[in-house]
Amino acid sequence: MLVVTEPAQLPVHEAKAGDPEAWEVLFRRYQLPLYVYVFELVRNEQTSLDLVQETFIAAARHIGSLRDDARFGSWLFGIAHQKCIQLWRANKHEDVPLEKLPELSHDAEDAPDDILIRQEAEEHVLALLGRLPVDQRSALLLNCVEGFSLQEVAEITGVPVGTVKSRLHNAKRAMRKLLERYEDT
Amino acid sequence: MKTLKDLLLERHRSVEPKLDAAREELLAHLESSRAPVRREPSGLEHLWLECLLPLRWHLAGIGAAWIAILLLHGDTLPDQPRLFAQATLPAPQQVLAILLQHRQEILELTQPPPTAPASMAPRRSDVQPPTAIV
Repeated sequence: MLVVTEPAQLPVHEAKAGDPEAWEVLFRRYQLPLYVYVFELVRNEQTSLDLVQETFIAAARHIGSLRDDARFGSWLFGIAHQKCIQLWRANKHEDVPLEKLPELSHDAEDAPDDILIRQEAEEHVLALLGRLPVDQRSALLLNCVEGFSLQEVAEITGVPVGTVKSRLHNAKRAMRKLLERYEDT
Repeated sequence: MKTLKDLLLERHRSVEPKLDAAREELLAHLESSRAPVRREPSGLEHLWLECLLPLRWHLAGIGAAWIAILLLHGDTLPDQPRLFAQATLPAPQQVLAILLQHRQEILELTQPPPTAPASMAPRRSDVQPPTAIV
């Protein structure tokens, strides 16, 4: 099971001072969630490993620009998100997640882990996740895997909070629909 | 029942050894790049490091060439300033003579010529006859 250290306990301040042990803690804490996020966007193992490594290198290089130590996680995922976009642009992908979605009026945030999956439906869920539009997938992953708030997801992906709400709502609705359909059959 | 998070982390857990290896490599790189802590050079240090230091052999060669030129022309070089002075400036005696000549000319032009020569004989009225002493 992944050992998740609370952001307040992370040795970000020490990492800023260049302490290698602090960096080890940070890398160990974020390597798998970061890999999951990147892989589910780019769908290639080696590319994902490279992007994770590039993200950590960039983080180590620019840690001085991080103002609030408690936001290290969202800052790190923001770097990874930008790396994915750069990769898409370099590969001339036209389906970069920029689709305009209508903003929904629901105020309550969906709980990050409110999608419960039965064992027999796991493969279907993962397959559906891969079929979601990249912007919805990105919002869902950030919210569900790392538990980022809507505000944090908005900062990571560089879009307004309302847009994140829409994307997240649409992604979860699509996932639930599939699960219901699967249970009916 | 699993959450999406559990499902995804479990699915990708097999890649962890590769992530560990990448992490170790990255940490070794960080460790090695951290060892020589360099401070930013100041202005003069920057000039020295960026401009002069790479050209040190060129500058040394040019310096050596100048020293060789100075040594080869050692006999003539000390006279050169004097020759130069002689060629361009007159000697002090000449200057003095010219100045005196000019002064004489100015005096001649500005002062009127004397009406009576100073060496003339006194007038007869001025001359008293000699008196006999009784």
